[in-house]
Amino acid sequence: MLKAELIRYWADLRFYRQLLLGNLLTAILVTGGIFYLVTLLGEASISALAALILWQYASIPLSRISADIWEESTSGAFEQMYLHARQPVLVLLVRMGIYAVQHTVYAIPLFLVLAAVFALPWSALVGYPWLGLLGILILTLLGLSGLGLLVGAVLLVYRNAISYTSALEYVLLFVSGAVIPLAQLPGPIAAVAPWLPLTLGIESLRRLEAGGDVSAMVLLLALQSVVLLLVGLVAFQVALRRALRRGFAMST
Amino acid sequence: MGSRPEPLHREASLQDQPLIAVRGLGKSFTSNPVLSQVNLALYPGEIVGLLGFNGAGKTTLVKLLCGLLLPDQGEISLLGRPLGRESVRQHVAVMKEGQPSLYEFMSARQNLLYYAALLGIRQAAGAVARVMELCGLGEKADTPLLYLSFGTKRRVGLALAYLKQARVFLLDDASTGLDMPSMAQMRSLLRQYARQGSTVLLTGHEMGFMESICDRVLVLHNSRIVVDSSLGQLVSRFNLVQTLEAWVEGEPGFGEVLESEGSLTRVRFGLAEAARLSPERIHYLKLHEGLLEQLLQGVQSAESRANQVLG
Repeated sequence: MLKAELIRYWADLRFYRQLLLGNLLTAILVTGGIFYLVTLLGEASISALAALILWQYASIPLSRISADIWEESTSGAFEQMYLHARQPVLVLLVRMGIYAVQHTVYAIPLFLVLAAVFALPWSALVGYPWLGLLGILILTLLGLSGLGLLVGAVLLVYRNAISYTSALEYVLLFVSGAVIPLAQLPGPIAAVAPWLPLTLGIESLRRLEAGGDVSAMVLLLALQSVVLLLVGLVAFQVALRRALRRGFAMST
Repeated sequence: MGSRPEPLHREASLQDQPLIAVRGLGKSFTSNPVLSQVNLALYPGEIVGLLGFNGAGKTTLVKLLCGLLLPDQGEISLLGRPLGRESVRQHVAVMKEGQPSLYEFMSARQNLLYYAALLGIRQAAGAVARVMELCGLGEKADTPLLYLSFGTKRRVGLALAYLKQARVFLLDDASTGLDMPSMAQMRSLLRQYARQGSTVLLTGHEMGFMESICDRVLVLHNSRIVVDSSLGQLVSRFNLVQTLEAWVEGEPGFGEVLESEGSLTRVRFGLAEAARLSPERIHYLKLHEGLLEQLLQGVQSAESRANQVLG
C-alpha cells in the first residue's frame, strides 16, 4: 500500500509541480505575513512561529485530502481504488502520512528562514525542547488524520462540502490560538476553541516554551487525537456503506 | 521481454459454469425501482452486450456486478460464491461510463504499477510491460492519461483487467468516443480477452459495434431483462429482417422508394431482393438498420402498444 501511494505521490509531484510550487510560495507568504502581524502584537516567540507551522499541517486534511477525494470521485479513480485496495481507509491514512512528511520537508527550512528574518534569538532556538515539539506534532497529526477521514466521509456523501473546507482552515487559524492566544478570544469562541484539533497542540507549545508542565495537556491532546481518529474511522466506514447503498456522491 | 506475450489466463473451462450468476436482483433509488427481479448468468469465453435505452438501469447493473452498489434484493455469485470485496478485488475489472476511472495525471505505466502494488502483484514492472504491449500501449506508456484519447484510456482499463487476470471485465459505455480504427482495435482486444476464458459484459449505444462483437445480448427495459438471447436466436425468435438502403440508377421496380433526385432513386429493400439489383446501377449502399436497432425498436413499440391497450 505504501509502495502504491509512493508511486501516486511521485506522479502527482511531477505532474502538478507548478501548482505545488505555487502553493508552497503561498504558504511562505501567508505564514511570513501572519507571523509579522503576530510580532507586531508583541509575541515574537518560537512557539508562535511553531504554532503557525502546525496550522499549515491542517491543510493536509482540509485541502489536499478533500481535493483528492473530490477529484477522484469525479473521475471514478476513487471507486477504482476502492475496488482494488484491501482497506481503502488505510490508503487514505498512508497518503496523509506521505503528505505530512512532504510538509515537514519544507516546514523545517521555512521555520529556520522565518526565525532568521524575524531575528529570533539563536540561543532560544538551541535551547528549545524540540523533542517535546516533535511529540506534540505527532499527536496533533494523529488528530488531523481523523479530521481527514471525517472530511473524506462528508465528501463521499455530500460533494459540495468541498466549498467549505478551506473556510475551516481559517477557522482553525484564528480560533485555535495560532494567531490570537486563547485567553484573548471572545468568551463563546474561547469555550469552543479547546475542542478544535489544533488548539491543545498550540497551547502545549506555548507552555513548553514558557517552561511550564505540559503533561496533563499533552495527555488531553493524545486523548482528543485518538477520539478524533476513531470518529474519523467510523464516519468513513459509515459513509462508504451509505455510498454502496446509494451510489458514490459524484456518480449517482 | 519476449516478442510473444505469455498467456495470462487459464483456458476456458469445458464445464462452463457461470462466472457470474445473478438471481432475483433488485435495486431502487428513492423508492423508484431501477432493477427488479433481474436474473442472468455470464459464462467463460463469451462477450455479452447489455442494451437498453438511457435510464434503463445498465450502469446500475454494472455497479452491482462489481460491488460498487449493494443490492436491495437478490444475490450475485462470482465463481460460485457470494460476491464479496475480496473476490471482486481479485476477479473483476471495470471501466465505468464516461469516466477514465483511473488517475489522469498518471501515465498508463504508473496507473498499472499503482494497481499492481495495491493488488500485491510481484515482479510488477515486467507484468505491466507485458500487458501494455498486449493492449498496444507501448508508445503511450509514459504519457499522462489526461493527454490521451478516450479510446486509449479504455485500453488502459483493459490492460488493468489483463494485469489482474480478471475473470470478468465490465465495460460500461464501451464504444462511445471511439473512432473506427479504435473500435476495430477494441473489438479485437476484447475477443482475444474473452477467448482466454474470461467473460466481458459491455454496455453501449453503438449498435453496429455491439452487433459485431457480442455473442449474446441482454436487453434491460422497465427495470427487467426482457431479452436474453444469442444473435442467431434473435433473428429467428423476433423475425428480424435485415434491410438495405441504396441510391440506384432509375426506377428499381421493387422495395420502398424513399425519394428521387435526378436519375437517382433512394430505395429501401430486404436482403432477398438485393440480388435483383445489378451492381452497376448501385451508386451507394448501406445497411438500413442493424439487428439490435430493430430489436430495441421492437421493445419500444411493444411497450407503446401495451400502453395503448392499457389506456
